[in-house]
Amino acid sequence: MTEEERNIDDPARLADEARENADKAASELRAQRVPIETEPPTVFKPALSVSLAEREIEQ
Amino acid sequence: MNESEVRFCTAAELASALRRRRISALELARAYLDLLKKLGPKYNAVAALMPERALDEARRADRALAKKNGGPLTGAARGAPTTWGAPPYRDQIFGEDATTVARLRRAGAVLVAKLAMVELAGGGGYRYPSASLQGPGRNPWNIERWSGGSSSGSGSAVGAGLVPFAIGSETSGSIGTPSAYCGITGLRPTYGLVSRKGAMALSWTLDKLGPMARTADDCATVLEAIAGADTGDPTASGKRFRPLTGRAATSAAKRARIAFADEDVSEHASPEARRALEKGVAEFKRIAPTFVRATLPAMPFGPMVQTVYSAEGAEIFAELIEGKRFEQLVDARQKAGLQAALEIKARDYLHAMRLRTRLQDALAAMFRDVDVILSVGRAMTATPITQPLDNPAPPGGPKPPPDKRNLSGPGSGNMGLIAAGNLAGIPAIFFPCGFATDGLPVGLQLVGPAFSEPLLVALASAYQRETDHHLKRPRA
Repeated sequence: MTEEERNIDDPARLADEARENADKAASELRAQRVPIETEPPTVFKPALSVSLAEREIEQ
Repeated sequence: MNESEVRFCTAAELASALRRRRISALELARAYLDLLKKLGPKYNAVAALMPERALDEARRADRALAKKNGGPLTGAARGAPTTWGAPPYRDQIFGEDATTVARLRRAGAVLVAKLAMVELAGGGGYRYPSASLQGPGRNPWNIERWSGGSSSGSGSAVGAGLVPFAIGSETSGSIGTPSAYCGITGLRPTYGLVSRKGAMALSWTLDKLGPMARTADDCATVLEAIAGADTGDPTASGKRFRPLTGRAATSAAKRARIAFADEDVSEHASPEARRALEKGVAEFKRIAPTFVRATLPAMPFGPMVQTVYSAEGAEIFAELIEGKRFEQLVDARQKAGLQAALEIKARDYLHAMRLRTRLQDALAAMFRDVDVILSVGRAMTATPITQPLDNPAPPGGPKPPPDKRNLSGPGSGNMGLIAAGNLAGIPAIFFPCGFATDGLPVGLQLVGPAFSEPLLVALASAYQRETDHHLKRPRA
């Protein structure tokens, strides 16, 4: 049994692994080309409220 | 009806018993409270019993039934999440119900308990099933095996017959895995069909709440009660759910074109699970005979979903991660994962999100040729309670089989369906299809386009009318 195997739950080792894992995921993502016109799914939405102009039209 | 007769009843059976006055809602609530009190600890399934509230709600349900105002869920007990399974939040009390809980209450359901879950729904990536304030979720079919996560208590409690249904949450696999491992039926709704207001957020763009029950029909009854518009959740679509009935359901099942990849079973199922899964697929083919070979696009589903929920989860829990209470979390790997997630670059998060757009386009093209995708629920049975879930090199012993959830590319079939389905925000139903050679349940999943829940339920319900896997009960 190696030292590496013995300490699978060592916090320092886990921290290194977590960073490596995130870096590996980032590399795999970046390897996927996305056409420049592709936007992410929309999350932001303007708040719905009636503008002054719309209120005047209603009146 | 006594306690043993109540245990393992479906919500539909209980509704019938209540209408016929074979049992009162109060007696039913007491029976489930007793079951949860006696057996909940055996499975680490219960976070908190709620006897006073349950009995109050049950009396109210009895009054409604006396006036013949009871709905399909009147008097039926259920579980609901609150403590987030995490020691830093062990004393957290909310002043109001989540929308889902309020809607169930309005439908006449009785809240008997808050059920256990993996801490923070597993955000950061946990190593051991013990990553929960309540301890590892134990499987009703073998308590030395895991119930699955992150909705571990919901899986255990429904599988053990301690409640007729529960609510689970899924970011990527957290309704599906416990449903498959515990031999129950779970429905992950389309993103935005069910309001998430009041539920713990792990990932704003991935989280869904859905029913876990003994049958597809019970899932439909619960979904009908909880779906719909909510001004408290800006992502709520406003759509409702209505199940297909009678001839429409039968016809839809017969006409549905089913995408399937043989290698999901032949190549990727564990040796223990393979035969039962093959049999399940053959049975399903008798219900819906039009099978078409079709597979998911080759995309890095694992890195995509991991990057999205890690980045969003790290922002949601940043105050916890950078505060003193963080050390109270149980799982050391999860803590390391949450800390590392704070450093994810905006460009990588946005790249993953743009890939989601590409995935949605690819799936829309796929669903022009097929109606649903059929695959294994999980390719293996529940893992031992002490087994690490991320396959690190174990001290001495053989390396455990790899987790094939996020496979992608040639030869992968549709093994990435859980991650892909969650990334695309599309619905899935998980249902049992038999038992592996190790005596544990295995199941299948059906995934359809957005808001195709009526078809998914019709197909799973048709399967359950022709088979009895969902009726099997673990030994008491």
